Amino acid sequence: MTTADPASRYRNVIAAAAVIALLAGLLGARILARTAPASRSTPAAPAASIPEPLPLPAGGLEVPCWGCQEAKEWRVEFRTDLDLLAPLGDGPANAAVWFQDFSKGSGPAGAPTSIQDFGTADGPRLAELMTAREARIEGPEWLGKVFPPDHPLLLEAEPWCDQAVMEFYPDIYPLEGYSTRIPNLLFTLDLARSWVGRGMQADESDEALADFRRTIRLGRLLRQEGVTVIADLVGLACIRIGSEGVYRYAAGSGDLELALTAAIVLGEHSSQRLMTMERVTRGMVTDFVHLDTDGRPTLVLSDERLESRIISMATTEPERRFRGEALISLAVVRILGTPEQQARAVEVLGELAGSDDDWVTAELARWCLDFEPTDEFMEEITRSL
Amino acid sequence: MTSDRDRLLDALKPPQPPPELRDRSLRAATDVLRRSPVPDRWTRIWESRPLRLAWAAAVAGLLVANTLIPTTPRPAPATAQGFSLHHLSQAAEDEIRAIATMPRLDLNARSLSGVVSAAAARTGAEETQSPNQKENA
Repeated sequence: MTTADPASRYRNVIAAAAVIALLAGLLGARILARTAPASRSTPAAPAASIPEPLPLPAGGLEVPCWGCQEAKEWRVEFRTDLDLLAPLGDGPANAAVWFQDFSKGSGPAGAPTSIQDFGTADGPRLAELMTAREARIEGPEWLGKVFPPDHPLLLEAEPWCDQAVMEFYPDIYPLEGYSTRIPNLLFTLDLARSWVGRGMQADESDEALADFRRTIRLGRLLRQEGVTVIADLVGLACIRIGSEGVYRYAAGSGDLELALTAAIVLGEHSSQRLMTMERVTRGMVTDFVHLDTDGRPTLVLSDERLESRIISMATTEPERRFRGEALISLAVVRILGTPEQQARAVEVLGELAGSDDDWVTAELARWCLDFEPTDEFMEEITRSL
Repeated sequence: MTSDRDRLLDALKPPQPPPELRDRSLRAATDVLRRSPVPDRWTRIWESRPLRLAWAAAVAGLLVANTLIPTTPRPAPATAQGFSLHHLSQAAEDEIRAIATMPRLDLNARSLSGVVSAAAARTGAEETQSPNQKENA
């Protein structure tokens, strides 16, 4: 039996326990550093004012002919001035700061699927939102489920839709090409339907119109950045929902001038959806990816189509979200095309990556040049064929 | 006679221990106890084999865990989030997918005869036919 000093044994035991505590603390700190900040408090939305809608032009409104030949060259946006219905607010904050807290993660169920996925975890308030969605009530038939009129999330979201700007990229979500994150668009649809549902039930027309216009402003904010097609389409949907609220309410209350304005805006909705799809069709390559005899994806794309459709869209399309779709297609060509097509894709991507014209396009082009397909990516392409 | 018997009986008595033996023995035992005390709680913990094995396993496990988890997040996997319309993530809700699902349109598509397209190019009067699609949003 040893006869060591009891004091030294005490120090040895404490030192051993300290080693465990230190390593456990380091591990905890690493995990916390990778997870979303659960206790981050979002600042309150700064005060903002909303201008009054513009009066109708003296000569009346022109009805855009989206079916005419010249429409092929139009930007896919409303030709009717939406300030006639719902001007944007002048709030100085970035509305995306509030919406980022409701982000969905990258796993199949929106939650981290492994210990190494903590970096793409859900926003800190996603759980709160999912609980709130369970409490939705039935709204008007054409709207579906809506939040109760006095739900805290509705009230909290209102001042954020009075801001002048909503920008997610690159400060909130980095541009990562194929894997670029998008905001929780389902939440924006919930807000749109809920505000319009509340407006339809309002006793005062000012309250009703305020809700409809807020919905339209939310849609305009979603379309403002123009980085992804899906956010643009959801913004378009929000504008449609808000405009339909204005139309129904105005027609029911006898305000024919307002109803007419809303009807013309509504008429542009479907056209823009179809023109969006035309642009996307022009720049896509998925129809030309097939499985070869060995079961591997291969691209069968003519050089003429590559030049006249995809490269033309990537380099000359005025709207960045459609350029982005074409750039993703060029990334596929870079991987699966013929050697000549791969070289041509690399050449075009290199030019765009070095261009100062649009930082989004340049960033995306750089991603497309560096992108190396993972097994997961190739499996996803193969599964889709 | 009595004295001879006493002397004989005395000779048969077992020898007695030295009188100082008891004190000497007690002192020696005390010395031994003082040199080898009962181990205290900390010594027992320090010298416990099961606790040492548990400590070693905990340190090894924590070191491995610290090595596996870097401080910077792993980049998002190369599956689509929703940037590209045709590669919406499987996690995208049905409602969002419904908004994103639209018919493909190719304004430059030509029929086999090419007559209709040629006529449209001459007159500029052809309008894009909207497909009879249920509105998604």
